[in-house]
Amino acid sequence: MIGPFRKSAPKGAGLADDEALLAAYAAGDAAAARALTERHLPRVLALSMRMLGSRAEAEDVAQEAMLRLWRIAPRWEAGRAQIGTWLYRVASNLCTDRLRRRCGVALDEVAEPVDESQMSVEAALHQEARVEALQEALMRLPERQRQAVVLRHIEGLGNPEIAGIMEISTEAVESLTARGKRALQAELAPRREELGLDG
Amino acid sequence: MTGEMRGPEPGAGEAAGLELFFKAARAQSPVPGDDLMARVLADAAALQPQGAASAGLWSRLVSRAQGLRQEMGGWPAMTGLAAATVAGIWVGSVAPDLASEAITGYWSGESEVYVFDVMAGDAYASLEGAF
Repeated sequence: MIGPFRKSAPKGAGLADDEALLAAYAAGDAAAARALTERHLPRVLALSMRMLGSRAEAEDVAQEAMLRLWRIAPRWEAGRAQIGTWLYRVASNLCTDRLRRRCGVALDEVAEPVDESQMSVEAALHQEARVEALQEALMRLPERQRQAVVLRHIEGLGNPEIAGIMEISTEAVESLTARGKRALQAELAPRREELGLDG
Repeated sequence: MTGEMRGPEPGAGEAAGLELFFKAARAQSPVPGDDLMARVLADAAALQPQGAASAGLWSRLVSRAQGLRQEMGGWPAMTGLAAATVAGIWVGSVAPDLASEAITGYWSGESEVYVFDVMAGDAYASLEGAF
């Protein structure tokens, strides 16, 4: 279950649709802006939230990333990049800027309430605890490892696309995700019982 | 990049364990609230390119001109109007004295040209409810 971030749409079709929508926006179609926002804002928000660990900051970053899309719309070169990839890159850079300005690490406002109608209270609590534990462990990773792991294993992107977003080689992406996962494993393994994963 | 050397992937068991955490995170993906959506769409509206506005103005002008043409009787009427306009310009430029004399005579009463309205009676009858 991937939820609102399902990647089932064909990438090529998405590219064509996105570019057509952006061109329509640049030509004055307000409905195109809404369609692009509905398609990309959730993904940009999710990435920003997992990078920053703060919903308020993530919303500011997501808004700024979309704002940059509106600004570049009249000059967008068709076929040069996927709009989704471009937005991820902009959001990643904005998150990096914020993380470098930060003194401490905010871990509040990590998770949305879960839909408890689908599971028992105990299972829901365990699920929420796992999300919080993962977020805490992610925030302890070096920033680039965190970015690669989030894009690969939570956002579900492929390594070539992540390489494009992070502007590194595919091999470097593989290395970052491998090291990030090892570090996460080391952080989370002692908490498995507490989180309802053992016994 | 020296800090990005490759290393072994976690084992299958470890990867499966981590996947439970990733799965939980994916199930709780944040959804943008109405306030954020409104802020983003307000930005989009504020930054809508100026060219789009002028294109909209041009299309409105074309539409209005088409409507006016239809109200005046379509292309035949527009052709007649254009021909009369060209003829008037031609007379004014080729024989300005003739045009000037005709206008002077008309206003001074010396002209033998009489203007009468052939529809005047009908209009009167219409007012009286004859039709």
